[in-house]
Amino acid sequence: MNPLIINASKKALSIILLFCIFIYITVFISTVPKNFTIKQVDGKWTATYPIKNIMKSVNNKLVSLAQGDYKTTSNGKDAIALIKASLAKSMRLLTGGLIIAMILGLFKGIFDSRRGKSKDSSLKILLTIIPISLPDILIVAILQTFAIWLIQNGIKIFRVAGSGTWNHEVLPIVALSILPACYIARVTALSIESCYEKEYVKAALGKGCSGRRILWNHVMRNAFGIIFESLSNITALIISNMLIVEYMFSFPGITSLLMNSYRSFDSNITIVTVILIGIIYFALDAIFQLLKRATYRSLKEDAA
Amino acid sequence: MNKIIEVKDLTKHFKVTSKMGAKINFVKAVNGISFDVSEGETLGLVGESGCGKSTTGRLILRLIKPTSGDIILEGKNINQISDKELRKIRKDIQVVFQNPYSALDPKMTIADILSEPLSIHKVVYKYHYEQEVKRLLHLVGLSEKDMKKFPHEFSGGQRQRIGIARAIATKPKFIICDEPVSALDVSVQSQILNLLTDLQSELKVSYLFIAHGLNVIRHMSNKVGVMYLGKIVEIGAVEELYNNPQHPYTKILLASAPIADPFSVRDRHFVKGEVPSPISIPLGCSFHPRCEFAMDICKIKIPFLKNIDPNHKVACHLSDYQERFGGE
Repeated sequence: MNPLIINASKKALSIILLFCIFIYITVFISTVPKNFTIKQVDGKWTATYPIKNIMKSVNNKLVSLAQGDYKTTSNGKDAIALIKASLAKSMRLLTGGLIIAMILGLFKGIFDSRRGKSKDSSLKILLTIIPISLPDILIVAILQTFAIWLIQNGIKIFRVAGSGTWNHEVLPIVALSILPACYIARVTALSIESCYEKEYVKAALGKGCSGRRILWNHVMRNAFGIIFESLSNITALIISNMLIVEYMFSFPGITSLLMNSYRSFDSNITIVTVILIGIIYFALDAIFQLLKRATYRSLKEDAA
Repeated sequence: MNKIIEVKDLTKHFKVTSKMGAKINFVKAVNGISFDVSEGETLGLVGESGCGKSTTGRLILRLIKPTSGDIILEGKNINQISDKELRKIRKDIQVVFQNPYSALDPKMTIADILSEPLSIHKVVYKYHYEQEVKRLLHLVGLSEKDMKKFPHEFSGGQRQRIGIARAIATKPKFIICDEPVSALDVSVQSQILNLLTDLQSELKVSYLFIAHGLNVIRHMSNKVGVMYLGKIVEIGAVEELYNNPQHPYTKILLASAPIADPFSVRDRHFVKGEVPSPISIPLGCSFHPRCEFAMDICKIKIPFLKNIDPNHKVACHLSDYQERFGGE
């Protein structure tokens, strides 16, 4: 059998197994009673609820969820419609944020990597690192303050919070893209600089290639492999950012739904939203892994 | 014979700063070297590691900018031209790198690698690229079936052949071979050297052949330059230099090369101490701290290259002394 197929199958099976464990843990955490505790009675450690009963509840919950037992929320709303709407909004934010992060990050990285005076290089790197070191809440607050200032001056392009029109989605998308863009810029700059040290780039220069030709034909083609390899690191970053962005912009996305359902003790909706966020995480990670494999030739050599 | 390339007082000093950024020093990698290479000729450059051979090659290619000095290619000083003009001139100066494993772009097919210089310099019409690539592959002993393969599918020797094919693609006048066989097995080295020799006679190209191995240099070169700490200490026709070395360092270098004859008896030449740092090169002759023949003048006055024969120059006060007063 083709080694590539065997490797891909092994990888897929391990991801599926990991996902199943993730679902089980999510349901387990949601099913454990709130006053569950373990205490010492007559020198023995005893749980307030038997573990066996908890496991039985977890299995029953899994079965009921698989049968679709979450059709209404605790206040009688159509859960499926609510989940679908929230998921669609979050996916728009996520897609927009990732696209802007990739474009901004790549171009900033190319700009940062240009050799120049060391002071200029330090300044460029600083401009990339500072946003990474700022808390997400501060970045969102700055954007909201900027939007308010624009509105006060008669420019009503952006909205500070809420949803309903495309204007409401611009700032959340920008907020979601900043940290991943800075991370991608840093990785891009470092990988471009490492490619410029390679002998085949010096050979291309010796052939008479222009700077632009060297950058796009030689450097970026080789740097993309390194960049895509590091993209899976931003998966967790962007999803955790989404929680803060949706909360601060009062954007009714999937993470807002999760927080609201948790506060209202709607365990079914909580479990479903956590699983959906997990699916988004795994899907995004799988896409980045595929991009990495498609561009990174040495992995193909190893597989062969 | 016409001179293809002339190098005059070429210097490269690299700036280094201390960790705190306070003290600035200069690594004098190449320290005022001069030589010329004629049409169809091979100049071999030999010396120990860190003497500035590869830096010289890169300076000539203008991969790094010289601190001072002139590089004249067919009457044109390439140190004083714009980047745009320099890119056009690169057609005439090409390079074969030491490491065949890193000198080829891993993401490009052999066809792409070989047709790139053709398209940059418009050597042939674009519809003839494939034909020309096939011709280049045949010239270096590879098959046209290898066109669509990637570098990782070849051995070291084959990759070096591809590197050579890439170098001759633009029909250059001058090729810098920067230790082209150092990274290869001994059995493959001879194949590559013979290929370079055959190409030279066929294409009338001149080489600057940089290497460690004295036997390799002797086999390939018409003229040899010996470098020490950024300077050429002796330069001359290959047989003249090998049979009658004048500079103490050249004698030591030649004496250290093993001969496959356990019964041969040779003069022993000893060198004391370690190579000085290129940041603090000794005053006067840079070799004097390690030289068994060092005189007082060697410690204060820098010796310059002087003709001892029409095809032989040496930078040594000892040879001046012997010339004036005779004896050994």
